Amino acid sequence: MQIEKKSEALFEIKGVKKRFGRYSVLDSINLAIQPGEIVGLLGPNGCGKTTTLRIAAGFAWPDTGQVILNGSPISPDQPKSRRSIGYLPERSPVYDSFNVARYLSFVASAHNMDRVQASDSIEYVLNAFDLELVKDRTIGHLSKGYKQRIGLAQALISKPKVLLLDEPTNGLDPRQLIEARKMIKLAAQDKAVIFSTHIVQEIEALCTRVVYLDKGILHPVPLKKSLPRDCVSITVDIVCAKIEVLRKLLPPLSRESKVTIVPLGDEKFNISMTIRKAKQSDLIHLFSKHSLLESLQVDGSSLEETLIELIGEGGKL
Amino acid sequence: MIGFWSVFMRESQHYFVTPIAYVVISTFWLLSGFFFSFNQLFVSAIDMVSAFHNMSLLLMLMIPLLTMRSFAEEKQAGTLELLMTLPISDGAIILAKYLSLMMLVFFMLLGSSVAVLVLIYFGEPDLGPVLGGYTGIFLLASSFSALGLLISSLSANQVVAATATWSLLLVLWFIDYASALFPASDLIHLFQHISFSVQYLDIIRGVVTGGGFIYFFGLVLFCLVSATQVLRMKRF
Repeated sequence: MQIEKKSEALFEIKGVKKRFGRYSVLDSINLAIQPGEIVGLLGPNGCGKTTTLRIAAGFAWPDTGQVILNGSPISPDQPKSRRSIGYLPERSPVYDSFNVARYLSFVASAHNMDRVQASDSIEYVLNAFDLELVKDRTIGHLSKGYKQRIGLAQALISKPKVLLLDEPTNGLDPRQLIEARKMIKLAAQDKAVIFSTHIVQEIEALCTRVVYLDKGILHPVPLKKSLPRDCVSITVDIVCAKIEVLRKLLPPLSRESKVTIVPLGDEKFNISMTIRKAKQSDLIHLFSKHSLLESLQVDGSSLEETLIELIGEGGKL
Repeated sequence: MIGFWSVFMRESQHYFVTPIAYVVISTFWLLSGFFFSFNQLFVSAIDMVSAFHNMSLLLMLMIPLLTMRSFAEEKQAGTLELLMTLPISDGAIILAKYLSLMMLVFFMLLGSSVAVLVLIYFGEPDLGPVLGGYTGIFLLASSFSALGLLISSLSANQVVAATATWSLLLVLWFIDYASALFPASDLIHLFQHISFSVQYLDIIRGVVTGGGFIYFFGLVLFCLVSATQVLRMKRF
């Protein structure tokens, strides 16, 4: 299945295939990303997420296909083509013997940044990721959470156009998680971001688009970002003679007091609203008391439930 | 070479922010100084030929311990992937690691040259063979380092890298002895041509020939180009 291609994409993976021996990991995947998009890359262990990111980062060659950034191909043989890419590998590897500032300075230097640019950028990421207090400490003595933040910092230090993050929030405590999400969202404003993770909640919190990699093929996954886990979306068709009563009584039950009432003629109405799951029975009682309920549709699917629907037994994938 | 200086500085700094440089250099100075003193005091040697022999054995022991971490350590830590996604060419990575190692070797040999000052103070040594000897030792160390780097690029384990390097160095050092097994064969010439000890002996005696330089430079070039290809193959 092909993801719909968008024209003038900032970053494109086109027709990429990859085999390891007899095993086909990627089977002609296509993905086009605009600036400001955060694409979540989901998939089971060993499905090829890291391989996809490595090819996208210019670390590995695809067997066929290409990766294009701003119209120019990314090539492992052309180091300059990787200057606009920020990549965070899985496990966030860092040089343990260096202190934080020196390590970031090395990455800045590798991206051919001049002293002033490097200094400004290092100061920015040190503050943004709360690393100022540990900048002179040896990385090997820091916790996993700090190393993860240092990894994120090095990915952003060159102000790349594309961010490729392989499990970037692993090992972060809740406060650090919130900060990292904030930083990724802030950084993504003018960048194309691909974010690989196992954690569905991270996708829901961060991503503007989700794709699922299965048997070498990328599948789009509908993302219902606006629906919190404790809420459901209700749509009913009713026959009601006194709709004004329901107009007064429904908003207090609705999340954010938003109720959409569409007249269908002959005292028939279509009503849509989002309510907390705990309020469902109150709502049904209200409709039963003041109207004749013709149809009722409840949609409470979160991304997790959508995925289960797609990939579970009897699923569409 | 794109990214050469950043990797060179990183590697060089790594040697000096960790105990590596201090332990290796001081150990080399201590042992080479001991062997030099022993030869002067108990063997009454008036030149540095024995000292150079001892230094070559020390380098054969110590250089694999330095080269084993060049790539094997980075693979174990996962930093090789990061390094290869930065805008740095594969050739620059290899050359930078090699030259930073050679810088360390240079400091090791520089410190050992105190022995020359001792010889000059107490005698009138012929400096030609001394210079030839240091040239030979430096060429030898260059070859050891290049071989060690190549083997490290092939291995994901530091112990394996070090052991394989030692084994290869020993084979190449003593391979001319194998010519005794093939007395009437052209293999004798091949073994003598590729033997470290045969190529190196002339140079430390001050006999500098083009063949010796070609051998060492050729070996270094072969190893560095091969290591670059090994790195490149990791991208497939």
